[in-house]
Amino acid sequence: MTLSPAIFGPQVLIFDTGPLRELVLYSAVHTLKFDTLKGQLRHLRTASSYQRLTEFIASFGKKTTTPHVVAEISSKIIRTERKGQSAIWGLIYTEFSSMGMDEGVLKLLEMPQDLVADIGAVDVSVLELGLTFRAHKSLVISIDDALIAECKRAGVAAQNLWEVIA
Amino acid sequence: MPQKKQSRRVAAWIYAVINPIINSLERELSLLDSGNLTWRPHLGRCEMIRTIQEYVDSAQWPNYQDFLAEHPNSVFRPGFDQHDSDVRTLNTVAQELFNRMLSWSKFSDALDVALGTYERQRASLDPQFPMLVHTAKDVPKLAAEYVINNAQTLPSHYTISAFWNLLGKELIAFRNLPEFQALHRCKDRLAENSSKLKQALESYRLSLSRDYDVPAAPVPGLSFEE
Repeated sequence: MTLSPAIFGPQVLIFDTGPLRELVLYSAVHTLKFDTLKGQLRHLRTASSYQRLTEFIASFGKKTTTPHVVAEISSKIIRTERKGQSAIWGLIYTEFSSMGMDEGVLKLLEMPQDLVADIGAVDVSVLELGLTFRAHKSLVISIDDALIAECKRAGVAAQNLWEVIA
Repeated sequence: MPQKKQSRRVAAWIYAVINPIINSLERELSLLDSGNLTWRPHLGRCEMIRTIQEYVDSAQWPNYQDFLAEHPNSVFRPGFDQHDSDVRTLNTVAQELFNRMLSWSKFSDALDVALGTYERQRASLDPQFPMLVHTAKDVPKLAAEYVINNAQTLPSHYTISAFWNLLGKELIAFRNLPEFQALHRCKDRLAENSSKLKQALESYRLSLSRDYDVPAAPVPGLSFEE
C-alpha cells in the first residue's frame, strides 16, 4: 500500500526568498497586470508551472518563512519597480494572509556567526527554522543550490523550486 | 531656444506623469473589466485602484504639480478630480456592502449551507482538502471579500481555495442581487470616466510629441542635448 505524501510526508513548508518572490511576481503580472515585471519572472513562466507550485504548497498544513526572507524579497521587488512600491507591498500582505503564512523570528545573535559569515543571515535563518521544525517533518523550498546543500548536510529536507514545477 | 528648453520639460510630463497614469489606468480598466476591485477589508479600500496622484512615483510629484499648474483649464484637472471622487465612492460603497454582508442572514445562511456541503464532501473529494471548522470565524470575511472582488477561482495555495473553487459560485451569485447594484454602478462609472481620461491623455501625449518632437517613450541613446 502506498502512503499518501499529504498525510505522511512533510507537514511544514519553509520558504526561502526565490520561490516567494516568484509567487508574488506571478500575481503582480497575471492578476494585477504589472506587465513591466514580466521579465523579472525567472521560473514561473507558464500557468501550468504556477499551478503545480500552488498545488504543492497547498499540500502542506503549515507555511512559514523568516523576517529575513521578507526583507530580502521586499528590497528586490522595490528595486525592480520603484513607482509600484505600495502596490507590491499590498500584494505581499495579501499573498501572506491568503495562504496563511506564518513567520518564525530568529535573532542574529542566536545564529552561528561562522555560518552567517559563510552563507549569509537570510540562508542561516531559513536553515535554523528548518532545524526548529525538523521534528514536524519540514521541507525548505529554495532556488539556491548552496542553501539546499547546506540544509541537506544539516539533516533538513530541502527541494529546489525546479523539482516542484518541472 | 525656448523650444528646446520646453521640450525637456514636456518630456518630463510625458515620461514621469502622463505615461505612468496611462499605464495605471490601463491596469485599472483591466481589473474593473474582470470585476476585481482588489478591495481589502484590512485597508478599507481598493488595493490597486488608487487616486491619480498615487499612480505617479512620489519622486515625480513636483513634475505632476508642474503639469497641473501648466494646464489649469484643461480637461485633466476635473478629469483627475472626477476619477478620485469615483474611487472614493467605490471604496465607501464596497465597505458598506462588506459590513452589510457580514450581518446579512441571507448571505450567512448560504455560506453555512455551502460550508456544510464542503465538510460533508471534503474527505471523499480529496484527503488534502483542509477542514474549515477551525477557521470558521475568518471564512465569512474572506467570502464577503471574494464576492465583492468577483473572485471566480482562487490559487490552490490560498487557505480556503478548496472550498471556494468547489462552492464559491453559489456565493458569487449574490452579485446578481439588488444589494450589489450600487457597487456595480460605481464600478461602471469609474470605468467609463477612466476610459475617457486615458483616451484624453493618449491624445494629448500625441499632440505633445508632434509639437515638441518628443518621443512617446524614452529611447535609449536618444538625448535632448545637442
